[in-house]
Amino acid sequence: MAEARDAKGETPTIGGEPAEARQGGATRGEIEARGASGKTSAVDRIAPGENGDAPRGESQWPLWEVFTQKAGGVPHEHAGSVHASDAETALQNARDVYARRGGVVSLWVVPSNEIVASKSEDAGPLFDPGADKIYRHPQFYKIPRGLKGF
Amino acid sequence: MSDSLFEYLLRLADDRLVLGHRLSEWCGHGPILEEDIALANISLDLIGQATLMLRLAGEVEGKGRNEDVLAYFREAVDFRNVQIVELPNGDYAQTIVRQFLFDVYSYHVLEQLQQSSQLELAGIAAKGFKEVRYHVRHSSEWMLRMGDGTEESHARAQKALDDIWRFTPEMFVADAIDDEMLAAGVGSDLRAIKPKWDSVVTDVVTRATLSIPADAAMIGGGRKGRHTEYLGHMLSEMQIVARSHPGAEW
Repeated sequence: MAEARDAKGETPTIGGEPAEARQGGATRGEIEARGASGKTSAVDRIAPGENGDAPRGESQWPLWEVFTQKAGGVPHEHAGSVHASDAETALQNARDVYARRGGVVSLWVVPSNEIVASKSEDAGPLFDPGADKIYRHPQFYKIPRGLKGF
Repeated sequence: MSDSLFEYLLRLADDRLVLGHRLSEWCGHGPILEEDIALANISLDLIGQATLMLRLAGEVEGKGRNEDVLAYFREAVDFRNVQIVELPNGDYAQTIVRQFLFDVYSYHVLEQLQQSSQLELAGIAAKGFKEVRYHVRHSSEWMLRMGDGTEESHARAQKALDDIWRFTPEMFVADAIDDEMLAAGVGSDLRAIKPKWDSVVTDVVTRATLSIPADAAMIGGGRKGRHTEYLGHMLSEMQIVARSHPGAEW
């Protein structure tokens, strides 16, 4: 899920401007469909709802994870989450909740149930073996004396 | 000229101040957290625009009244806003329909005012235009979702449109002050804006599967200080702190 959904569609055009983003097509039904089809036993959904559907909060709207970019060229970072009925309102809500005080140049929103997470019980086999293999760190290797511009 | 400009600036400012205050009444009562924040944001944008416009109006008037004095120490009859912005919030459909109809209007007004020969006003308009582009997007999207949503949301949106529609012609009434400001290159051309507003509103309303109400007798008079009973009540709440503690700062 490194790709931001480019939400374009028919939006109220005003003053001859190109239509701005509207629904990215993530309707409730589609989100549910994706949630169901993408289910495998090897992975956890980060915030699974009932039956693996899009997670629902009190609003009964799907949950979306929000990523903000602080400046051009730096990575988008996870900022939090919002509820929204579709991609366009998720983007608007993310703007209002996480970008209203400025300091953001780009926003991504991703349906929370599209995020694939490792299982906590797999933490041992997945992550522990890295701890005692110091040769996997660059610091392990001595740089020969006299090597310039490294 | 400066009298007319003062009057003209009050019209622009009061539309935004009154609507901004109305939206602020939703704070803490929004249908969901995200919308609560969205409305508070838009409210603050509008109050910010009004602040700059009232400050400029005070300077133009030259009687030492600043934006706070103009906002908090005028009576309802001295307010120059159109009546649509003072209507009560009602349900969320009423709020969104009122907002949408004004946002599209404000979009075109501020778009033109960026080229105003009054340079401070042009600057204020340029800042406000960026904000209103987002406001239109927000309210239009909600029009589509409520109109083309459930049976109940559709019915509520259509009722709101029917109730509020007769307040819209007032926005486009151009009187001697509008004409003078237009001729001086200061003001916007309301007659030119009307067909643009019609076209955008019709487009969104149609796509929202709603119908444009039939034209009815126009309600108006806000530009001359004639207001609905709602404005006085709203102002009493808006102004009470400033009037109870004159000169207080925080």
